Order: sequence, then C-alpha cells, then structure tokens
Amino acid sequence: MRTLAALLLALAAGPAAAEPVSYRLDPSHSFVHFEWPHAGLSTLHGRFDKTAGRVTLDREAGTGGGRIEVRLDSVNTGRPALDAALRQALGAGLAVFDIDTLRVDGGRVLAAQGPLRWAGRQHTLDLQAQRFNCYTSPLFRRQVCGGEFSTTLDPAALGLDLRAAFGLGAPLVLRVQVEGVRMEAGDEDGS
Amino acid sequence: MRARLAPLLLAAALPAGAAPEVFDLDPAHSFVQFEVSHFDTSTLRGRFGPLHGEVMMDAAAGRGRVGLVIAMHTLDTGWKLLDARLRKPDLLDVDGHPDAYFVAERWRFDDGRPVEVTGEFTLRGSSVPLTLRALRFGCNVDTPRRCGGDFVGELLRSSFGATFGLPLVGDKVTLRVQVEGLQRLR
Repeated sequence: MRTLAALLLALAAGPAAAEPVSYRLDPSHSFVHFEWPHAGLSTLHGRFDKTAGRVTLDREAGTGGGRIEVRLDSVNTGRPALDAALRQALGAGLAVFDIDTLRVDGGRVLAAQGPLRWAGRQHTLDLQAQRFNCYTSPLFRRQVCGGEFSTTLDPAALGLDLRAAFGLGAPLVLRVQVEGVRMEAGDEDGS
Repeated sequence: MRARLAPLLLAAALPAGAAPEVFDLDPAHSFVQFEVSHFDTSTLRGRFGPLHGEVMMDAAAGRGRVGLVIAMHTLDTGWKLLDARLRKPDLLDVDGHPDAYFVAERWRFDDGRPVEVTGEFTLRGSSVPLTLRALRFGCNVDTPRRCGGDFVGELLRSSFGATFGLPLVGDKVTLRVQVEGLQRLR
C-alpha cells in the first residue's frame, strides 16, 4: 500500500512540475480550414488536408512554442479547377508556421503568433483561440491537448488574387483545428 | 434523385398571379459543411457536395420551396480512414442510405430576403424537422440572375440513430450550407 501511495504521489507530481511538454500533432484531427467569400453572396469552405508539427507547452510557466507545417498541394475545396489554381498560386511545397509566442493563461493557450513562410514569402500570423482543452485519449492512452484557432487575413497579403478567375473576394478567414498527442521518452523525435 | 424530387416540386405550382422564380443550384457553389465537437477540444469538420436541387422563390408573396439531395458518398473530412468510419452502418450508413434530402416549404422573409427556411431533413432513413437560418443572402443583377447565401442549422445526430462515439464526439451537429442558384430562364 505504501508503495502504491508513493507511486500515485509520484504520478500526481509529474504533470504538476513546471516542465515543458512536447506534443506531436495528430494529423487526423489537425486541419487548416479556410472561408472565402464568393461573389458577395456565399462563402466557400476549403481545407488543407495535410498538416504536421510539434508544439512545446509549459502550462505552469505559461510559455511555449513550436512549428506547424502545412502541405500546400493538399488544398481541397471540393472543386478540382479551383484546387489547381490554388496550387499554382501557392506552390506545392510546405507552408511553415513558426510559433514564436504562445499566450497561455491558467494552463490554456489563448493565442499563437509567429511568421508563416512559404515559397519565399512571409506573413505574420496571429491565431486566436476560440477553445482550448486537454483530455486523456482512449485511443492513444496519452494526454491530448488542442483547440480551435482562427484569424482573418487579406488574401492579397498572401499573394492570392482569384477575384477575376473565381469571384473570390476578401477577407479570408483561417480556422485551425489542432490536437497534439503528448510525447514521451522513447518516442522518435517528431521534428 | 432529380426524378424523385420532381413530383414534390411540381406540386408546388403557385396560384395564378404570383411571380415565382425558379433557380437551379449551382454545383460549383453549393456545399454543406458539418461541425461536431471532438472531446470538447477541436472541431471535427467535413464536407458533402456538390448539392443538387432546385429552389422556387417568390419574395413578393413571401413564399418559397427548396428541394435538394446530398449524395452521401461525397463525404470528405480530409482523412480517408475517418471518412470510411463515418460511412459505416452505425454512423451515416452510406450504403444503406446513399442520399440525404432537404425539402422545405416554410420560408420567412425580411425585406425581400429569406431569413429562415424550415422543412424536413431526411438522413439515414429518418426524417426530422430542420430550420436553416440565413447568415447572409443576396442576388446579383446578371442574366440569368444568381442568388445565394450562407445558411446555418443544427441537429442531433442521435435523432437519426447515428450514435457511435457519443458523448465524447458531440451529439450536436452544426450544418453550414453554402448555396447559390442560377435563375431558370423560360
């Protein structure tokens, strides 16, 4: 009993220690979605299907950072002609979001800021959290943290002008859903 | 699908004197996206479409009718394993029920624009009332006229018997419908 109590104490102390924890994005629950107004009438919903990355978070100290990579040629609007035009405009490489600053309060991530770089371009992203939460995943049997983030951009700032060809105007809303699985000793390096 | 919907739409013939316009949905701009909470953490999103169907609208008379069909195999969440899981019998049962339908005749207008459309949504063989609220709606001045907007509605997936994963994957499903129609010229 004494051993069990000691073990429980040790387990309980683990997460409470102010130590940065790394999370690897779960690609099945991490997507960058976008909303783009069409013809002043309706809103096109699109998505990038392939997102990877790693985020380090110290919930006690309120600090963290990380890198998220999006495959630009995984763009998916449900319209092949538009997807082809977007691939041409964006390139087929990676968009890399380096999170310089994670704003954390009470153990919850409130915002993520840093440069987004792709095809020789750069634009500072400021993602605001609509929701943030951590839970124990029955699938991974590990802690998973994640949430919903968004920001509003001028597509011109991304070098995207599809007004004439596709009637797509401004602004462009990015909605980022992300879940990261806690990495543990012995995991291969996820970077 | 169109054949099955046609009798419903013919039945909507209006009294003489009304000036209804008929629109065919533009498949390039008619999709439905759904959102479900995943462990109260992220939002699981997916898309169906293009949607096919037609709309009769008579703003002056405050009347309208929409009949549209959603081919369920077009489900796309961006994660093929998840798509395959969602298509199974205990969720969307796409093999058993390949199409979903929305037929709505109760329209509310404000200042000539539809603000709320209420009808019946049929999914997985079950029909439930569904109200879609317009977030925006407008028409352009081209010929043929193009009208469209964004609509949002909510339903409980349990009311269709799609219960796998409750309650960790939420029961409430938010539908975000992008729809545009091109006026059918006579």
